[in-house]
Amino acid sequence: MEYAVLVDPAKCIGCRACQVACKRWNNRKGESTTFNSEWTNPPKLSFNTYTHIKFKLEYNQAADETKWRFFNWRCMHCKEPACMHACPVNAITKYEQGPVVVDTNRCIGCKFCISACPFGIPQFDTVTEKVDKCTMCYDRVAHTNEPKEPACVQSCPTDALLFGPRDTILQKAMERKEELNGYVYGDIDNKPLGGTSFIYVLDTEPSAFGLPVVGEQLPTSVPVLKYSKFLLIPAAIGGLLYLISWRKRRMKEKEE
Amino acid sequence: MPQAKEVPEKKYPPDVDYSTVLKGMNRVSLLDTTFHTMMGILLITGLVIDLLGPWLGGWLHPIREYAHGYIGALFVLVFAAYIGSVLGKRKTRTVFTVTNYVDLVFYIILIVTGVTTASINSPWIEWFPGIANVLSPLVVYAPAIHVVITYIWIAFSIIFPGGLLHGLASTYLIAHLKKKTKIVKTREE
Ligand code: HEM
Ligand code: SF4
Repeated sequence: MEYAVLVDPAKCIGCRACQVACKRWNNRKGESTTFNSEWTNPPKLSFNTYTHIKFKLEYNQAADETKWRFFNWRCMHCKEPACMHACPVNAITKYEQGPVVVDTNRCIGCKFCISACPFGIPQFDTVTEKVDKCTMCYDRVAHTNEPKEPACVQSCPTDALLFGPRDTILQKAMERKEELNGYVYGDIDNKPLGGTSFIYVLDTEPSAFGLPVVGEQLPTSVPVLKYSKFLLIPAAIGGLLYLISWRKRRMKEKEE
Repeated sequence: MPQAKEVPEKKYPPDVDYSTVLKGMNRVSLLDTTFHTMMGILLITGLVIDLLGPWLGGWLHPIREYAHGYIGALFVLVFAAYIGSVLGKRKTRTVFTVTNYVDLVFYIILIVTGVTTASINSPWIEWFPGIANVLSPLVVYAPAIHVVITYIWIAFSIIFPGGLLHGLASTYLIAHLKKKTKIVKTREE
């Protein structure tokens, strides 16, 4: 069965329990941080931070009001993952239950997936020289008859994250969309890369959250990267023809 | 009275094989041999990474990191010295064809995208954080451009015999020019 997570930023209070739970379940190190221009620390995703709460301060000029927006950001777990198609060593797997997972034993750190992902998710680690990202807790969701919700979802105190069968989650997204008079990003209104396993329901346009416009099909750069190797075929034919004509010329010269 | 030396009959084109070309290349310049050998290693390791991945998987990690990455970093230095020496001399500039200049552009793109890809790796990021600061926003595009340009370059090299063939051919030509110069000197004695 296919599962999904509904992300409802309007309910997020920015407590970052999900960030902590993710680190604990996935055994990721903490990061030494420095002051920076972001409202939160660490400032962004990294090899050791699979999930991150973005803090955005919004000013409404008409009402002369400021408003915080907090929202959970990590891999979207696309149906047609661009990263998976770009990987030359098949280190990335899309599970039928939803998760898209990097096998770090297989990863060679070439960064092709970084080139391919339109969401900027895969993160390179200078210690292991490999790439990693959120796994949608595939070790809780896949490989089992009784899937458990991902660690981030389990820790969320306000139900800003909800886990369930994808159909049920889509239904909930529709209901909440009505309530908020808003948008669904990941399916229904916006279906990046065939639809995603993390689905946002938003009270305003996706761009207000910095969510990119991503088409349903793979970005052109991915098939170009993947199939450019077929240029070797005309190159080989050209090379062969060149060798044949060179040999013929030599034979002729020898005869003379 | 000095006896005029006998000038050997020259056959054109002379019989050569690859070992003659390599010997010629080494005689002309060690820098030339180093440049071409390293370029060959980068080409082969690059293709191995991209083509044999499904079978070799994680075994390719050291090939990417050491054989391609570290040799690539050394290649950047060798390339700078080589191109300076080739374009700096009138004799070598005269044998440079349009294909060679186009090849030069391919090399520059491969080096810039290669260095950008590697700029967020250890030890470069610790040693030269400035490079990563400037180039890392481009890391997203660099790996894909690097690979696609390699294949375009291979196809270009074979269709307009450059790249793969020019390395051997131009050194052969230079070696041949040198031989000719020697013969002329013998005549003057
Ligand atoms: C399909 C073929 C190729 C693939 C898949 C490939 C892949 C890569 C990768 C993944 C890197 C980053 C290395 C790292 O992270 O340590 C890199 C760097 C580099 N590549 Fe390639 N490459 C290819 C062909 C070539 C060719 C033909 C050349 C030059 C003739 C070249 C020159 C370089 C250079 C100079 C670097 C920078 C190395 C450094 O600064 O550490 N590559 N390449
Ligand atoms: S960095 Fe690793 S996971 Fe990403 S494409 Fe390369 S081998 Fe695959």
